[in-house]
Amino acid sequence: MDIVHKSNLISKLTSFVFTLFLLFTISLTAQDTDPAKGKKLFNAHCAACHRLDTKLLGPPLSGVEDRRDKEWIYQFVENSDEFMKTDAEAKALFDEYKIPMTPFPQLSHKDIDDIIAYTTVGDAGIESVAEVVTEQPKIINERYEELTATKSNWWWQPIVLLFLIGLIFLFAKLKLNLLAIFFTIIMLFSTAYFLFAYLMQIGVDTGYKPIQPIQFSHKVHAGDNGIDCEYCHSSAKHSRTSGIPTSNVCMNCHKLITEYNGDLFGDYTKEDLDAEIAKVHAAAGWEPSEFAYTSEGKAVEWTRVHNLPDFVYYNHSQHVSVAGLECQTCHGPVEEMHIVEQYSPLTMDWCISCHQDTNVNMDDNGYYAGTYEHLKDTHKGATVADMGGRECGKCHY
Amino acid sequence: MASNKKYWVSTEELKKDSSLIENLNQKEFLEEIPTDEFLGDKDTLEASEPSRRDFLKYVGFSTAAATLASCEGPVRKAIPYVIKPEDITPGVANYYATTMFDGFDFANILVKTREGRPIKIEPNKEAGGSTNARVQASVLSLYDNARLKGPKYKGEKISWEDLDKNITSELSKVFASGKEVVLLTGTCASPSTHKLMMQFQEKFGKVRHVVHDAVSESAALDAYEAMYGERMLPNYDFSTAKTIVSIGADFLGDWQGGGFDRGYMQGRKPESGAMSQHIQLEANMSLTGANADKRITLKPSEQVFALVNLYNAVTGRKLLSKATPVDDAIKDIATKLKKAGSKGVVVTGIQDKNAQILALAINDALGSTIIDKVNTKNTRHGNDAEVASLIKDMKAGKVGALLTYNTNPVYTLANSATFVDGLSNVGLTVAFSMSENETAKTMQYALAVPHYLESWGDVMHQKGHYSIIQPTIKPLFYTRQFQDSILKWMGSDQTFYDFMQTNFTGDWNKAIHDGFVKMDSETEEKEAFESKVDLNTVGRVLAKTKSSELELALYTKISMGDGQMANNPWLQEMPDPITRASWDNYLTMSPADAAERGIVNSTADNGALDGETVDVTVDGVTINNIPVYIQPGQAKGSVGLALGYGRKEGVKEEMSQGVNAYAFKNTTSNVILSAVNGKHEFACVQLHHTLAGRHDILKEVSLEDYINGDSHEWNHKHKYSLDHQGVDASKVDLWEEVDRSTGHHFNLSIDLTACTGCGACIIACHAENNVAVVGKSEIRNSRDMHWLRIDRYYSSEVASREAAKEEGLGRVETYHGLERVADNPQVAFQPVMCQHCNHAPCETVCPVAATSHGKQGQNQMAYNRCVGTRYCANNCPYRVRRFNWFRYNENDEFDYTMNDDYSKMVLNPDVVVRSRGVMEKCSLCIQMTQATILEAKKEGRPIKDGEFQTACMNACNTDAMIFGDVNDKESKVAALAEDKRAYHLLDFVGTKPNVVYQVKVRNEEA
Repeated sequence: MDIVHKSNLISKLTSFVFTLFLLFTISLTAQDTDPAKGKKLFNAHCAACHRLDTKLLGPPLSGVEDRRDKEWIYQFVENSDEFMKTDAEAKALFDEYKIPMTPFPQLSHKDIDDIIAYTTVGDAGIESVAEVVTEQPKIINERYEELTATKSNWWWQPIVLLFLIGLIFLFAKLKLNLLAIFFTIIMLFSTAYFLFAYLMQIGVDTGYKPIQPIQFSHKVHAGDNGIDCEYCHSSAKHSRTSGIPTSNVCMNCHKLITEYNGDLFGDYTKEDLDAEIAKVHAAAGWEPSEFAYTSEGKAVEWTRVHNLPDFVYYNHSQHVSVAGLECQTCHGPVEEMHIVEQYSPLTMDWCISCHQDTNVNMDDNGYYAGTYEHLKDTHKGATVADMGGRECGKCHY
Repeated sequence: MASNKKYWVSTEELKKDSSLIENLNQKEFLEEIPTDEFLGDKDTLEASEPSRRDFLKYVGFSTAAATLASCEGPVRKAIPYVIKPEDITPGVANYYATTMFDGFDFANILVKTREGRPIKIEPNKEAGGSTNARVQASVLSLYDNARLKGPKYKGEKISWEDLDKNITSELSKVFASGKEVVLLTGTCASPSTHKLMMQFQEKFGKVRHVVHDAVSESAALDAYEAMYGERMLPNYDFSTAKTIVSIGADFLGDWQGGGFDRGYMQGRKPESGAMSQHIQLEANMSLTGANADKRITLKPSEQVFALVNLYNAVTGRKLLSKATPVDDAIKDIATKLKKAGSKGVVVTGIQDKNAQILALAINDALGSTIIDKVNTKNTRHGNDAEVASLIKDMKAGKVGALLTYNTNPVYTLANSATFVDGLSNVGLTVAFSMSENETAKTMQYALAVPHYLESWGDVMHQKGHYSIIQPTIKPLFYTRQFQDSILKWMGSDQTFYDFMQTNFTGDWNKAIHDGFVKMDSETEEKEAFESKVDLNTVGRVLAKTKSSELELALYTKISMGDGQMANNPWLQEMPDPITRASWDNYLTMSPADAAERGIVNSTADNGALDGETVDVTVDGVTINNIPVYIQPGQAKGSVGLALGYGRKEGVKEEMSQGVNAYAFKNTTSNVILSAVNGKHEFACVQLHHTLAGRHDILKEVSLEDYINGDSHEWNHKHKYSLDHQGVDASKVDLWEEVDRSTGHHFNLSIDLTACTGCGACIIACHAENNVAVVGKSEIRNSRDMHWLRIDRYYSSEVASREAAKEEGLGRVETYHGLERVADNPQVAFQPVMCQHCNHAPCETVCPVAATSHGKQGQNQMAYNRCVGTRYCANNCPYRVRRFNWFRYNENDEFDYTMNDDYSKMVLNPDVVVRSRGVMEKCSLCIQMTQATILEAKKEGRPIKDGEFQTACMNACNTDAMIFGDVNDKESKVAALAEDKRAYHLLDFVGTKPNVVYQVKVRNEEA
């Protein structure tokens, strides 16, 4: 784990330095304006309605510098609604698209210049920045390999056993009976231990990382774009299941986001990832070219990553809403995972240990008035297990 | 006083030398595992193929192979909605208020749905709704695989479009020919449907609406019409009654649509001191008779004379009558009624207009306020005379088209053959039906209609109480509502939903949300009605009532009702509260009559009941091979037979049980039994789960002793000697006491006075906890899975028993003196489920700690830990643990509830489906208590009393079960646990149960 962390940090640092270097070179060439910053601003403010080369809710912005006067653009961006009243060109634009543009008074002229610079040079102009970041997923992939490697780290066990057997034979030959017996006992115990360890990991699927029908990256969504977990897994605070977002939730964003413009990862090209977004559209029955739902859609058959057996009752809302746990406590750094894997073992031992170590926060919850009152005064407080969180029937019914 | 009563559950126990009873008492599992038979015989063992050695090799190999193969976990899919329905959160239940309605049962209910699937029915208490076992079980009928899945023409599938074309053209032909179109329906009680039919009539002219009820109350309706001018059923509010006299009316069962139990029990609260007295005169031992304070056995013809005599005694008039053997008692009853005055009431179930008139006349004479003539009931509307004339008209070819809806006349008519004959003279016959039942099979068109949980509709089962039916799931099959079809055929493009809404005035959304609207009783001036009934004539007609040596009294079982839900395995497996037999109907016969005819019921070695079958002829109609069940308390000279069985069409083979008693519907006298001709195996749970011969688990007290007596005497607590002092058994401990003062401590109080034995809780438990149905033969093996059983005890005073022995009176001479008590025993019901002992004997013997105790008082069962030693069941003094002898899900051998995709939809996703080889039992609905706690924690508030629920207490109409937290000192259950009536089962065992019973109080005063 530590190694992974460090390597992550190093890679981040290098990419940062490299980016700085690149930015420096670009700013040298483009003098005042900064298309890289412009891209960021474009993605943050404009991309919801505009593309560079295609029509979306608004016109394509590529080459806008040639079409419009800078001053005109400043005024339009600041408040198109007002500007429309005095300017015929702006009015004509509104008549064509029927949607008034959101005013952006917060954008300075410099910001707008940057954005214009970006629309002029396009992605190709700042391609080199993207190249740097493609390094990152490789490191993450390595981390996965490491994880899987520790899991299959069993080869030394038979060697130890063979070594022990060899020793026993040797001692037997040498008529060192006492030693032979001693090592026989050790051999038997270690066999039992290895067998037990082997059996105990059956059904424990830590690191389980199935291939999903859509190459959905949590890193891109929860990490890069910082979408809150509960935006998609909205039933986690109400229900026993956290819920898998339905296609209509995906479409809240993907109506507009029809292509992937973020940092590439894995072995995927931009075309690959755009095709994945197209799958989302297909699942929802959305036709991007017509900007309309054209069919009923077909539910995505995801492969479950976290599988509790039927005889266990687990409730997300108990842990999320009542205990206030972070999703990451059990699910790990999902926002860093391109492919989600099972982070925790989900064994009973794992559940119970947490129940034994975690104190219940009774202070802010009116439920604990009454018979629980005396527990609040005690110095130690009460753990989940003290409250009955270790009883069989609380999870098995 | 409780102490001198003897309790027994079966006549087998009255035999002095029954080794069987001893055996049943001692063993939880009756069958020995036949190891010795096989292993003891060395020769067979060696000769057998494969040999023991080979067998072990195979086992070794297959275990190793299975272990290796099982290392890969299965890949499971998670499939979200494409578009999430706004009101559904996966994993969270939604409740909808709707109305159960099938022409036989009417109830305001709440439907619990999970991910859009209805999974449980609960009473809508705000609407005053109550549920019986059938209403509770109706959710399973929604998922019935034997339902009609689309419209059919002569057995072939047809599309709705083609069908509409054909039928509209046929109908127009009929109207052109001037023949009549007849709508034959069950009781609809739906204002909108009624209006629709009126419009249909207006549009086409010659349309007649005939109502046919399977179990008709035509006599009562006609009587009410003759007396008060409206063809309605009066309502009865038993809650304020002082004296209730019922002559053959099973009003706690299905009499006049049922639903009287709540009011009845509200008037029977011993702690208020004012407890009504209920006297029942009847032939069959009914649920109502079992609850009566005084029960008098009387065969059907004598009931008529008893009614006339009662009328004479109350009013002092002298109507023509005959003497009955119980005339003294009747004089006594009359005195009581007169004393009660307006708080007295007489009800009767005699299917005779004149008898019903007389009962109304007695109530009028008393000035009874119990009978409610304002908020009349619409639960039955059938008109037998109109049905008879319809059949005549059909034969005469006057009927051009017959449309049946919500009725199954081919099955329920006594003269079904004539009806079927008549059908051939009808040009167009259309059956609207949910299943391909007898009628749907016979008619040309079988039109699939949706279940009530998939339909829109309205019901006014009581005047002023408008209830709404709303769908809780999209139709599962290719169905269309009856009303939508009629609208379509009328050429309207409205749906029935629109039709209903346009006819509704008021807040529609609120009505849908609440499921009902209380309407002010119309104060319109009614024309004063002058009754033309001459009671002398009534008396003269009644005096002509024929009696015969053996008479038949038909009845409906609380489980099966009129038989439309015959394909519902929950109801088939539910034991009858009185006979404790499931999967059957049978001729109930008094022990005296049986002895005279040499008919016996014997108990097989495993505790299963065997009987004999007879051929029965009533007025020329014969049904062969009806098993005889010897019923203590059956009136001598009468036999009873349950309706609703013997369905042949539209039900699975396993569910086609018993005989169709509707064939006997028109006649009751002249019953001729032919010779005994065969054996019958009952699926009777009578002797299952007996408590090692400890029958003193039931305590009773008379109202007088309850008020005036010493509670230590009638509620004796067992004492142990501790330091040479008598100490309550509950205070003596082998174990260290656990501190239960923090958090919740659940207790369930069961009031034996309020329990009617109706069994709604059994079905509610089935639905909530995914309890399996095991089938008739497994029930015989005493392997029923009911988590909650309702024990039925017969009792009699020892003194009178001994007196009878000494006297050796009359017919007593012919058989054992003890059996005299079997003529008319007192009955008591006792629901028994896991007692959740704080010191549980089951927990200490489990070798794998699969069963353990929770802080909240629940005895918990971890199914996945259980290895099936069954030690716990053997050590349980209450016999409440159930073992999964087989896998009851996805197993063709048990094709009942969990074997096809539809019936699996009813499963509660919060409770695991148990696998073969594990023990299970009542959990005090821990999934429900946990959900309540979580809800409160999320909302950050303490839990109020009444929030904690179990499925059984929720289903209880009479509040016999109260569940809650005894650490909440303000709660009802905390008070009940300390009540002077409170006691624990087998308190001397020292198990300290968390289920507490309340001593049964009878109002026995003379």
